[in-house]
Formats: sequence, structure tokens, C-alpha cells
Amino acid sequence: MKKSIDNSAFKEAKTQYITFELGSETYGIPILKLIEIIAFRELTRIPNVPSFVKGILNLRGTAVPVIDLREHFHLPSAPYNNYTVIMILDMSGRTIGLIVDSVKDVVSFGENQLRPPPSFNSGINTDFIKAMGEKDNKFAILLDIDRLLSDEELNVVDGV
Amino acid sequence: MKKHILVVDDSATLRASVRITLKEFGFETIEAQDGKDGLEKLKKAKKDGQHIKMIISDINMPIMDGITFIKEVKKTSFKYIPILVLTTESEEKKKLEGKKAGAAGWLVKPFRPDQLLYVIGKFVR
Amino acid sequence: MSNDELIQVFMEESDEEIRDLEAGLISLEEDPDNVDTDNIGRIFRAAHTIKGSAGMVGLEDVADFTHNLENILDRVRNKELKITKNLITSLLEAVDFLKGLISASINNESVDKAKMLSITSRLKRFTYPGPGDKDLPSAGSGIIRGRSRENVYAISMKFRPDIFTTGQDPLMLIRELYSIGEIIETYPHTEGIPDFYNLDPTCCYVWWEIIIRTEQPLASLKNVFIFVEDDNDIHIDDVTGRYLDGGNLDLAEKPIGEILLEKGIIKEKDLVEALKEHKTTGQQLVEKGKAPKDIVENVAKIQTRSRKIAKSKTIRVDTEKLDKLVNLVGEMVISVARMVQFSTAIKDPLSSRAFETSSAALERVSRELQEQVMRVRMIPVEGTFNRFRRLVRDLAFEQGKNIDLKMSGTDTELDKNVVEQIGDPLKHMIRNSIDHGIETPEERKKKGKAEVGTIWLKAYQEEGSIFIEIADDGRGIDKERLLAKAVEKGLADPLHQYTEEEIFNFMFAPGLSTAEKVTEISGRGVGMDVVKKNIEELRGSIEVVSRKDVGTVFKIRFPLTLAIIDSMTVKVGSEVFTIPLSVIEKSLRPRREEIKTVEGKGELIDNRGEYIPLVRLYDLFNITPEKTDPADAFVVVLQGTANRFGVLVDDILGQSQAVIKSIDKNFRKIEGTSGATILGNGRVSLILDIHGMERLAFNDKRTIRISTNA
Repeated sequence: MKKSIDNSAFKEAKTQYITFELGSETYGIPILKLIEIIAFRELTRIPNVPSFVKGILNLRGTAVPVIDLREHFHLPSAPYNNYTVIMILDMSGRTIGLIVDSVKDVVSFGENQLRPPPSFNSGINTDFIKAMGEKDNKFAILLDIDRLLSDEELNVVDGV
Repeated sequence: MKKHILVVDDSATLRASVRITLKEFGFETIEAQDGKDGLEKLKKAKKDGQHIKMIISDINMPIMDGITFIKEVKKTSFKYIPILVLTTESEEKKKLEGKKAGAAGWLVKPFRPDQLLYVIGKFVR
Repeated sequence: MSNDELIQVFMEESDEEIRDLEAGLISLEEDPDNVDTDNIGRIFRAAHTIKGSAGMVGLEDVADFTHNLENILDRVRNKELKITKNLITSLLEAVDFLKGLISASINNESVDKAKMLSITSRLKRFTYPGPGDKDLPSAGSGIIRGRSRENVYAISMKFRPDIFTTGQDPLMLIRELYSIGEIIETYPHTEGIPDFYNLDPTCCYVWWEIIIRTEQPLASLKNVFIFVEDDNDIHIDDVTGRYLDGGNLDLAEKPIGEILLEKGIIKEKDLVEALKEHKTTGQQLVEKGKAPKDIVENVAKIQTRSRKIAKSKTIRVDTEKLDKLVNLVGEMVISVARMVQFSTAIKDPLSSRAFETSSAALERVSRELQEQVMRVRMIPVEGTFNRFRRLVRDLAFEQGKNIDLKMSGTDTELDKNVVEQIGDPLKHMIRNSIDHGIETPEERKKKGKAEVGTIWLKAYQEEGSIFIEIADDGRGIDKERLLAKAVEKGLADPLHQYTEEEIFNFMFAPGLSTAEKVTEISGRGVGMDVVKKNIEELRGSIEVVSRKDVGTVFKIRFPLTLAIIDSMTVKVGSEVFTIPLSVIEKSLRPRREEIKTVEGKGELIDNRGEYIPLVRLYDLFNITPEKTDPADAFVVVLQGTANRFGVLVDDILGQSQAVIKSIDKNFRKIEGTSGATILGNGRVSLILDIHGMERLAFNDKRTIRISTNA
């Protein structure tokens, strides 16, 4: 009965990623998770949360928390400029914004263009890296955004 | 065209059960929770261009009971729609009244889906 | 899949019906002499519906068990059974068991069969009492255990071959006979079946003879065949004589009327007279000259009308959709209000007036729309209130107290969220009233009060708010003892003169209980502080008034709507915060000499001899402020659960209405805030939560400081 949505357009969308830059790396996020991309704008700060949570913004009447992905990945911070954008995403039912350096392209990765994620010995949590995508000699780190924020990061304050 | 069946019963469970059973067989059920509601649903269905093939009605209901409902239906242009009355074993006398009022058949609650389908099959092609 | 859906519908429905059953039974008990036919009808119908629905979802245990209840209620409805405490207790016990039985049956858990049997047999005692029952209720219900007269019938059923085309089926008739009595013999006659080549599969060739033993009258049997008797050959003969040997039945199994008859104590005529009473209530009353016919008919009419009101048509709407609607309408109302303010900017007087007129109309319509939308979310408090009848009854019984629970305004509507969550706090307060408020009958007698104590549960709407009151005529709150306790716990200053209101407010302070002994019921670790907190989380407020030996009144106030609050916006650094007006006591700009630092207590403001702790919001939230000197800035004084404190802000921007947005839906709860709202300029502003701020400022000061400085 559920076969009706399993059409070709949906299949194609499933392999498409929106790619963006963060420092010198290219990352990718499944395009189906993307709600919209908006220019960087001033945020309302949230007290007593990890510093990578930059604040909340008003998206047509909804309060959306925004995360600086550079800071979350422990990359050196860079000033926000004209290219800085906020990607509004659906993360397991939550609407969350990600600040990234710039958005690049929509790329389709087939099965044969995906590699398992590299294993780092740095002790950094890499659960949220789904795979490495390779196309035309260019690489993208494909993220599993549902795992980008750990439960602790979302709930640590709840019990205080 | 969809085959519509009107179910008049104050029990949501019964209505849901009929709905679920009949849905599989291509019937669309219209639900009403008492006789008065049933009459209104009949009128509404007519206005909406839906053709009701059969009425299934409980007897013991608030506001307007099943017997009164059947009598009322028989006074209208809907009188040719076969009516099936639902009874329980404790409502024997009502069944007779139902028949007098013009019911075409009856079914004793609780019934199984196959029993319901069987009876409906007799009235609706 | 579909089965799950059906079970879900059944669960919701049976939940509702059981509540009706309970509430109805209890009000029956409260007023057994004044039998409210409307109420009994409702109770009966509830059992009837549960039975039928349980059968439909295949929960046969539930259907069978409920059938017993239905039988008794039918007798009550027909005035064949007198309402006694004993009866109600048995029925309530059965309803209790039924609840467990339903959930056990749905979840495939095991059922306490022994208990089921014992409850069933107790119920059955009420089902078939003898005809003398009316005059001898106590003897009639307890001793006689029997069945009515059983008869045996022989039924022969010959059908026309094309019976199936008429929508009938002999098998269904036989099944129905099974429901009427015990089928002891069946003779299918298959000799009419032709050989295979001549057989028409759509025809019926078999006929039956069936012997059935039943306690139901012949008419019941005949009724099985009403749809087929005209066209088919159906015969029913009473053959009881053939199947009944004289002394075969145990005497104990017989109804008392029959035994009395057999023993020659009463005459058959008397028995027939007594059995004739099986008529509808109204009929009996009319015939006995106890009620004029037109009044009975009128009551029936009124009953029909009130049923109509009670069962008005509804549709189910996902609350999420409703919330969205409420939110949007709220946004609209605020936008309209903002727009109206611009009317002064229009210089041309003619256009200005036209704009004013149309914007005023728009404002009015949008307000009305908001009110209607809000109303959709509102449900009556009745369901929640009714649950307490049982509680009061059981607790009073346990504690040997006589308590009457009086309710009013049960149709008052409140936001669904509030109605669902107000139950626990109310329950706690009612328990308090029973445990500590209402005295024992002896104590009350000594005080010259009525032996029966009263608890009032009222709901009403007034001045744009909804009020719920819990009152009792018990011993009242002992002010001196409350104050002494507060002093003992270090909550009150022994030298300070407190007003009555202030003293009563100590009730809501954490860790304060005035109960001399902790009873089983209130020893559950929930105090009035939690009650107050729960209510405030629903944006309500609570106050208490009490007189010694006269009683206590708790008054809870809720705003009409939950999605919009009246608020004050304040500025700290570059951030704008929203504070609900309901928690703001006042705002002030202290003079420099009024600010004191007390060792171990931090900063205090001396407000005309009253010391108010000062909380620097920028410190709490780690923000860079514009002003750090309170004498240059503003202090907003807030009243929390345990603390009254002043919050230091750079500036007060103004008052407005705020539509509350949830943050935790997308992120998580932010300590010290209860949500966010969108400001006129489109920016998001956090709404301060008084309890969270209190926790941040007074309980965990050190941990918070460390984390904010990290």
C-alpha cells in the first residue's frame, strides 16, 4: 500500500545532497532534510546553553534555535559575512537552523560513489558522518543530521 | 460510484467496526449517532449526491430511537432503502417493532464481519 | 491495523462510559429516594453500550461481565430493585473490576478469574430476587439465589428453498437461539437435499428441529422468527413437561415467589399480581396514582431535551491543528492592534477617520475570532470534577467521616490542557480538606455543627478569568500554628507582624505541613507548594482564606486563554525579555542608599523597611548589560513561590500582549524561561519563567555561575 510514494522522483531525491562549505571542507546533507536557506540575520541569544547554540530566530512565527556548525565541529571560528547562511533543517522532527560558511550545490551521489566514513583517532564523535561522497574527484562529507546533536546536547538542561 | 451505507448507532465502537469492515469491500460508511442524526445524514447525503444503498440502525439510542427512526424514514423518499436493525438478545420485542416499522432484516450484536457482509450482500449488489 | 483502530475507539468510548457509570452510581447513592430516571437511564445506557461494544471488539469476558451489570441496572430502571447502599457498593466494586478487566483483556494480561466469579455471583444475587423483594429489600437481595422458571420448547423450522435471497440465514437464527437459552437437542433434517446434479447451491434444503431450554418467555423465542415466520413454516411447542421431572430442580434455585406458592403461603393470584409490576417506571407511577400522567409525560419530554443537549454533535480535531490555529489567530490579533496604533500617523483627517473606523471593525472581528477559536480548545470541567465524587466517598468512608460533596458550575469550560492537568492539584486539595479540614462526626457534634461536613467544588467565570473554588466547612486553618511552624522552619521572622494573608501564604512554602499526623492519604510527599507550582505552570494563581471552625476556601484563578499573556518587555544589553504581568508586583528605581549587601544573603533593596533580594538578570543569563548600577536602571519586583525578588534590568520598554511560542519543541527547555514570543520588529524575545529564575537565583547559584563563566 505504501508503494505509491516509492516513485522515481522520490528515489532520485533520496540520493540528492545539498553541499556547503565549512572551512576548507565540503559537507553534504540529504536534500529532503532541508526546509529552506535564509541569509544570516541577528539572533536572540539563549542564556546558559553551550556556546555553539547561537540563539533563536523567528521563522514565520516559529522560534527556531540556531547552531554554529563551525563551533560544534570545534573548527576555528570565522566572522559572519555576506556568504554566511542559515540552513533550516528538519532534525528528527525538530526545526533547527545551522550556520554554515556558504552553500554550494545540489549533488547526486549514487551507491558506487559513497565510501564508508574514515575512522578518526582523535576521540571526536563521528557518529553523525554517514559516508564520504566522491564525484568528479571532489569529496563531500555526508552528514547524518539526525545524529548531529546528541540527546545530551538537547536535553542536558532539562533536569536542572 | 462509491457505495454508501448509513450506520446509525450511539456506540462509536460499533460504528468504527462497521466502517472498518465495509471499507475493505469498497463501501463508504456514513455515521450517525442517533435516529435524528440519521435523518439529517440522509438528507445531507442526498444533497451531496451520494446514493445510500442501505441503512444499518441500532434500536436503543438516545434522542431518537431506532424504531422511531425507521418509521420516520418510511415517511420520506428514502423509504426504499433497505433497513437492517441491530438488536441484542435482550431486545426481542424491539425486533418485532422494528419489523412492523418496516425493517428489512436484523442482525444480533455482537456480529462478526462475515455475518455483516453476508447480510449486506443480500440487500446490496 | 484496523483492529488497533477499533480497540482505540473502544478504549476511548469505554473510558467515557465508565466515568458516566461511576458518576451516575454515586449520585444515585447520594439521593436514593429521589430516583432520577434520567440518571438511571444514562447509567443503564453506559453499561449497555460497553457490553455491546466489547462484544464488537471480541472482548467476550468484558461483554459477559458487563451483561450482569446491565441486568441489574435494567431492574433498577424498571423500579424492580430498590437502591440500597449494599447495591451501590456492589455495583461500584463491579465497575472497578470492569476497568481492570478491560485493560487486562486489551493487553492480553491474565484476569483474576476468582475475583470475577465472586463479583459476578454477588451481582447475580440482585438479578433474580423474588417478587417479595420490593417490600423486603434486605431479605430479598441477600438470601434468594435462584432463577426464574425454565421452560423447554421444541422448535421446528422449515424454510422455503430461496430463503437466502431474502437476506435471511437459518444459521443466524440458530445462533440467535443460542443467545436465548440452552439448546439441548438439534435434529437437522437433510433428507431433502437432492443429488449433486440437481443441487442448486443457492437453495436451502435442510430443515431443523431444535429443543431449547430457556427462562425467557415464549414471546422471546417467537421474536427470533419475526422476519421469517410469514413465508416459512415455523412451529414452537412447549414441551417442558417432557423434560422436567417433578423434583428435579433444587429448591434453592427457585424464585421465592414460586417456593411460597408451592408451600401454599401465597396464592397464585398474588404472585401474578406481583409479577405484573414488570412495567415501565412511568406506567407504574401513573397507575398507582403516585404521579399524574401529564407530569410524567412532561418529564419524559424534558429528559429527551436534556439528552439532546448532553449529546450534541462533535467532531474530533487533532489538538496540534487547533494549537496552530490558536497561535495564528493570536498573531493576527496582535498585528491588528499594532496596525491600529498607526492610525495617528495618517495626516489627512478624512483618510484618518476612515482608517480608524475600518481598523476598529477589523480589531473587533479579530478579537471575536480569537475568542471563538479559543473556545474550541475549551472543555467543561465536569469530567474532572466527577472523578472526585468517588474520592470523597471512599476517603470519607475510610476515615469514618460524613462528607457531602457539592458541585456547581460543572459546565464551566477551561482550556483542555488546564482541565487535564488540574486534576492532580485539585485532588490534593480535596484530600487535604477531608484529612485535615472536615472533623469527625463526634467532633462536629461537640462544636454544634451539622454532623455531615460539606466540601464545595465550584467553577465559574468572572472578570475575564475562570475561577475554581474548593471550600469546606471544617475546622479551618490554625493561623497561630501555621505561623509557629513557619518560624520554626525559618520561613517567617518571629518579630515581624504578618497580615492574615501573609500567614496563609506560608501554606504554599516548600516543606511546610501543618498536619499533626501524616495520614496514609496525604503522606505522599506532595505539599501545597507543589500544588501552587502546578497551578502557576498552568498560568493560574491560588489564594486561601480560612476561619477557625468555620472552614477554608481555596480560590484558583485561571486566565481565559493560555496562548496569550499580558506582559511587560524589558531590555538587558541588546536583549529584550518578556515578563508575564501576572508575576510582576511592581517596578521601581531604587536610590543608591537603599541598596545593601548582606553577608550570606547577597544584595538586598530596602524598600521602605522591606528587604527585597536583588537578582541581576545579566548575571543570571551572562549578558553584557548597559547598566550595572541599580540606581541608574530599573528593578522589577516579582512574586515567586518561596521568594519575592527584584530583577535588575536596563530599561522597561512597555506592556503588550504576547503569543507564547514553545522553544522546547524544536530545542529543549531553557532554564529560566517558559517559551518565546515574537516582538513587533520580528525578533524573538524569551519569556521569563518565575520558577526557573527562582531556582537559578536562589538554589543553584554557584553551579550556574560556573557554567556561565565557562
